[in-house]
Amino acid sequence: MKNNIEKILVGKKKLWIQPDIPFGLLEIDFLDCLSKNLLLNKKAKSFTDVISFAFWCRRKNILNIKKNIYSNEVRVGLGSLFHITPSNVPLNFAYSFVFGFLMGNSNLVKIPSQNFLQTKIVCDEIKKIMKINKFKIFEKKNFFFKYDSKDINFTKKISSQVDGRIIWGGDSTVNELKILKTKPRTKDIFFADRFSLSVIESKKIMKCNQKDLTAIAQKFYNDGYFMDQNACSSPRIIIWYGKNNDNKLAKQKFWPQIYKIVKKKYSLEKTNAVEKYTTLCEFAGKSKESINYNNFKNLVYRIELKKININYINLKNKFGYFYELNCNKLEHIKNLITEKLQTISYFGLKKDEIKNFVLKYKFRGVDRIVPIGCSHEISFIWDGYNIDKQLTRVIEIR
Amino acid sequence: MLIEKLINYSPYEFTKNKKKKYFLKGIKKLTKHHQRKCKNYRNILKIANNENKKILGLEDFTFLPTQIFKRLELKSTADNKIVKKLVSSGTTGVQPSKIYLDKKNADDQRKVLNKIMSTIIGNERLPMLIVDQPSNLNEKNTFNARMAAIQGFSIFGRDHFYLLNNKSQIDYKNLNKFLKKFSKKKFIIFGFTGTIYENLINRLLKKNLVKDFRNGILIHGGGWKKLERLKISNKKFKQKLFKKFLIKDIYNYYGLVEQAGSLFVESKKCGYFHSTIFSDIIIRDENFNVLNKKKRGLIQLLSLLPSSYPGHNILTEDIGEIIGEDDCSCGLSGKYFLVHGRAKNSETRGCSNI
Repeated sequence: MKNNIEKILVGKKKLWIQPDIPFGLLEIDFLDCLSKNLLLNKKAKSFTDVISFAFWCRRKNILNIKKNIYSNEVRVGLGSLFHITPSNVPLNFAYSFVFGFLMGNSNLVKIPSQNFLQTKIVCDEIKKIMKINKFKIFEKKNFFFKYDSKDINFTKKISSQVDGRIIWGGDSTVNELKILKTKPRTKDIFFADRFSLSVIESKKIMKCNQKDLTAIAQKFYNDGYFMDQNACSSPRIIIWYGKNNDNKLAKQKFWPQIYKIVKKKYSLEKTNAVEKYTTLCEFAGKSKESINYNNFKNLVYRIELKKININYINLKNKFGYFYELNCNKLEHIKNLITEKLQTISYFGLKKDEIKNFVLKYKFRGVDRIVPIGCSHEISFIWDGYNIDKQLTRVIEIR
Repeated sequence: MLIEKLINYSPYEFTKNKKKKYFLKGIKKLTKHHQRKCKNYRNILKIANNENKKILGLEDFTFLPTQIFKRLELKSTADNKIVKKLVSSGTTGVQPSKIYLDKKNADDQRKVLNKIMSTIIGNERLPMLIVDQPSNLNEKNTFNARMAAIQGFSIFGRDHFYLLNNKSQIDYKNLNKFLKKFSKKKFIIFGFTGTIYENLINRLLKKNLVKDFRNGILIHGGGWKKLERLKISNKKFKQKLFKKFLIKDIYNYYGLVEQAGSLFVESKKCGYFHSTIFSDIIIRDENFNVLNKKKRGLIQLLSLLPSSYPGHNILTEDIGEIIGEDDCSCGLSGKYFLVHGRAKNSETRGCSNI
């Protein structure tokens, strides 16, 4: 095992497997301590993702989560978990770890192969806290390491030993890991490639005063530009809900606000600008219909479509690139709700409206319906899974 | 027609004002031509023209990104007129880019390349040492960038000799034969920058040579990713070649497969690449605003040659910087510039591994 591991960031090589009851007090203490340390860490200050993680794992929030998913069932952790996290997201591993840890499991966590400072900051703090006497037990139960994911034999070996696997990284990683043999009772959570969209009610935008408008624009920016619009929960298509004329006016009011924020906050890398432009040219070349296009100095690409032909959209649009569609009835976007659709984020219209629409047609897609601004708020319910239930087993007692 | 006229002039003959009119007209004409002949290109122009921008200068024309030749089929000639296909040596899983040449386009490329290269090697064909291995065509008339460049440059040479055999080993026996026969007079050494570095500078054992390379004119280009990784500058590259082989005449060239023929050769006197009467360069920032001289940004290249595919106006992912125009100390007209390598790819974030 040793030879395959490039770097051990935290933990002992021999993993101690001892399933535990979810939401253990010591675990919550540990996470609260981690939260405090991260918030005090000077190096962490400039990283919003580290700060959000720190807030997320503080005691108050964890107790809140516990309250929300409380049930009378007697549950216990599966045992050992193997976390395969994406190589290009700095802190996905940290959330994945907390899921497993808090549910009473021992964790083998693959750290992103790229050297992110955020990853190091969090790992260093975890390591430090695990040296505290009362938390020493966690050092035996958790292992953070880097290895070359192309080394399939190593992945195979770990897969064959653990009680559960959490596999991020999209279709290609999922497919690679799906074919590996695991123990018969090993539970897997697969996170496949997904896409997301936003629905905005035009009338509501029309009614916004400047303050409201700035607020919703900021929320939209957070959703649309986080992780370069390349997360599965990033909106790639914007649905304008209302009469055509209202939609037109709402767009005129809305997009300049977005541009204002993007100009101030987003840094567009040169290669990404070229890639975005390439995606546009490819789409334009293949598209049969006339397209209205606006680019706000390259920072916000808006492609207005009369109808969406999902075949022409590879849904790889990122770095601030949005397809737009008018609709005055949700029924018009039925063909977009495929099994690949993860999140519908909304503004204006009531959530029940979307809920009723989704329930009426019983689509195979849509796992999340959340207000704009909350697209990336990760929780124990994610991508259609109750993660807490997946990572524990229930003991039936009568 | 334009090419036939221009071919009578030196590639560095015109200053800004003389070039401006015919070049703009030429690009305009090519844009119209491709718009008529290539549907995918026409569609792309449609979207870009939505802003109703007026064409006042070269910078106002819609450019295509290099990668688009991997994603769309772009040709402006009938299938039965295609005589040659250039494909990029794409990595597995990624679509290679495809460039279709008809006879006119292929001829133009050859003529213009000849014209540009004659300024450094003269009009006489010289013996040619190719720092590479002979390659076989897998598919008739299909060339990758490497083969195309070797083939393109080969016409300036005679008595071609490939330094490497099919097993990629240095063929000392025949190298010495070549040197004995030709090294007393001028001869050409041609290869990709990385291949030359690896084989001439690193691998070749001087003690096995019977003659030196002092009369060699070394022409190299492309494939500098490796040197960038090793942090070998152009200057150091030259120093190493001089130190080991006494080669003084070293010419770096820069160009795109999409614009083969109208390449940019580094002037020996000043060390800058120069645009020619067939080509032009514009530098842009990440918002695609045009940058002034001495500012680093994305390199956009224009060429009057591509007629069988819409490659006359291309935005690359290379970073460059225009130093000046028409006032270079070396005396050549045109814009002179530096290439600083590929734009840094900030690691793309996101949920799926790429």
